[in-house]
Amino acid sequence: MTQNGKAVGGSTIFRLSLLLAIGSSLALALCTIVIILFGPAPVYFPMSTFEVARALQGMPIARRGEPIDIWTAPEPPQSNELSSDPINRIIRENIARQMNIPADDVVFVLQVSLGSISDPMLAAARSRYREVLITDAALYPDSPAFAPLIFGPFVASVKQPDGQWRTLSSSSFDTTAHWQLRFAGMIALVFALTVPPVWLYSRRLARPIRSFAAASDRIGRGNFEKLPVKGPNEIRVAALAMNDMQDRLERFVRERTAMAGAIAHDLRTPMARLAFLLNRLPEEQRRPLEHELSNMDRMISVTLDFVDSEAAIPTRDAIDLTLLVEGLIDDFADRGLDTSLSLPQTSAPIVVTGDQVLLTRMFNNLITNALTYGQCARASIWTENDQVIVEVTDKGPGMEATDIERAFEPFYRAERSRSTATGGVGLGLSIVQAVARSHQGTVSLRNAPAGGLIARVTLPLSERDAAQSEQRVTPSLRA
Amino acid sequence: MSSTRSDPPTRAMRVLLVDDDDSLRALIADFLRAQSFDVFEASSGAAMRTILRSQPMDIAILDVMMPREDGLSLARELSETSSLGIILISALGSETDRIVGLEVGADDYLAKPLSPRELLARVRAVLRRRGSGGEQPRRASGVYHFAGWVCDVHRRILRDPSSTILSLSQGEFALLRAFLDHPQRVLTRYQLMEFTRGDTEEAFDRSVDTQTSRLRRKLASSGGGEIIRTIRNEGYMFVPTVEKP
Repeated sequence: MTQNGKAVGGSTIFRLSLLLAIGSSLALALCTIVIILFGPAPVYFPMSTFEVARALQGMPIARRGEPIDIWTAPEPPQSNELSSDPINRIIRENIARQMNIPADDVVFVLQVSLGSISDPMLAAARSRYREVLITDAALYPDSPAFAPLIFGPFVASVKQPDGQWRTLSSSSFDTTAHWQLRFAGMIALVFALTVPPVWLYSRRLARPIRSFAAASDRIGRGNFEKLPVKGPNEIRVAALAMNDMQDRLERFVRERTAMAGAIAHDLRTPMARLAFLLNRLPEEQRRPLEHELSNMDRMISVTLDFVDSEAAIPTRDAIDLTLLVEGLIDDFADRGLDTSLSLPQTSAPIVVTGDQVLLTRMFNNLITNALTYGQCARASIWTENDQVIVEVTDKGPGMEATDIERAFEPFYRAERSRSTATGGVGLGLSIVQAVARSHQGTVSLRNAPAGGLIARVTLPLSERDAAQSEQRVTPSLRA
Repeated sequence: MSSTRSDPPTRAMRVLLVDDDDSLRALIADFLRAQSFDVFEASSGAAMRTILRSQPMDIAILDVMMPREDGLSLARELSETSSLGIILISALGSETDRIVGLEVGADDYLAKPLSPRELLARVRAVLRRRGSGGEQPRRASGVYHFAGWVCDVHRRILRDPSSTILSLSQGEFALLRAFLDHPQRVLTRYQLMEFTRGDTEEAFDRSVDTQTSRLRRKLASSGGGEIIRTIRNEGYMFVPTVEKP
């Protein structure tokens, strides 16, 4: 509780994520307000028929920002039959009168703007515009000063003396849509500007969680390491709890090792006495008892090996794995046992980073197993990608699938090894697994198609740089 | 079988046995006396010193786990003040315990339960080694240097010039150790067999020639010049100079 008390206070994930949500929506809202208040207002300057007539005759007009296209083509892009709207007729006739040409030589179509379809306000404005225009045309149809303004996008075409049609289009111009587009663009810009800081912030928020998860994973694989107590409150509390748990685990492992050592000591001294007492017996009585004694000793040794393999922190030396396996194979062969090793074609040394004592113990166990249950041990070693693979194959009966599943459990003994003939405590493969794991490797068992059991160990290859840097350190350590 | 080969016929070898466990000490003493050793018993460091003041000893067998002064500190004291052969016996049989024992200056380290035959073999091997080389300096650190290589005989670690560990079989390691102790000298097969015998419990089926050629191949795999030279009709010579501990 006192430790948790230390971690309380400061930022919590809850507070930080709340801050993130409020902060980002506030930023968006502020930008929207700025755009509305200080952005360009949707102002529209309509053209008059006078200006349209001038532009169609090639005379200059004052431009106010509206996009206008003028081109000449054999046919007008639109025709008067398209619309029965009186606006079109009134404006067409007005343009024709200003240019002194027949009304049939003019085509005018007021476009239906995108906004006016959905927007009742715009629809109402247009119908009001129509009413005013009709009234205007009825009041002073022949006045030369009558040049009505054109609201909304339109296409106006005039027949030229050579039969071509000259067209003026203000079709794309729709202030509402334009303003909406600009507004959407600004929002997208604001969004694009908000994302990077939010992304960075989220990463910062997630980093302690990720490193916490990675550390837990390493601890789960048996490497004790203290987690840093930093980051948001929840993570600090969890890190403290995890460190507490590690302390307890380490203490447990230490106590277990001490206990196993004490048991071994207490057993081994009377066993030594027994060994010397046996020496006084006649040979035929002594032999079987000595055999039992050495079995007992093997069981104690393997138990101590297991405790040590579980608890040991491997040293990190560059080790020629080929020679390590070869040395063991030769040791067994020198004692007249049926062992062999096949090497890869390439003669490049296979170097791993690890602990010679532990690795020797691991392969010694695998070879001993193969010899005990399978009469022989055929080892092979090769590399695949960044991994080195060592397989030890025997000629035994193999193992049941259910036994293979449980073979690595401490003290589990498959049917084939339960007989007293082979002895064993059921720790050999547990030792192998503990060593493989402490070297970031794996171990697996499978039955060979042609009979026999294959044990496969995979270890990461050492990076040569690591070996190089150790080379510089070693002499000074030895001095 | 070969008990008389290295024992001088004039007097029995004197063994100093230090163990606080009375019954085990008595059993070991009886066994060694039956093998015609002259055994002196001590149950503590103080008793050991009293005996040493009155009699010169050839070899001391020390139990590691003793109250007050343990076998390790006694072994260190003996290795610094005398040229006695020292064998440690201990219930702790791990590699680390063995290395610690050898590094305080013991010649050998035996884990309980030791079999009588094994103890006898080790005692003889230590006496032979001490006898053959005369007054050999004690090599507590056990680290040899040659041609860029480093060999720690206690830890059984051989590092090539790039510091990679090359593992050897037990037979090859025993051979290398014999070469390191007698460098730049022609060693006959018989001598090599003598030097390597007793270093390990196992009897080697392979001949010295096979072992030597394997050792030579492994030493050559890391490059460098000739390390072991074959002298025709005579034996082998370890070529580089060896920096002994």
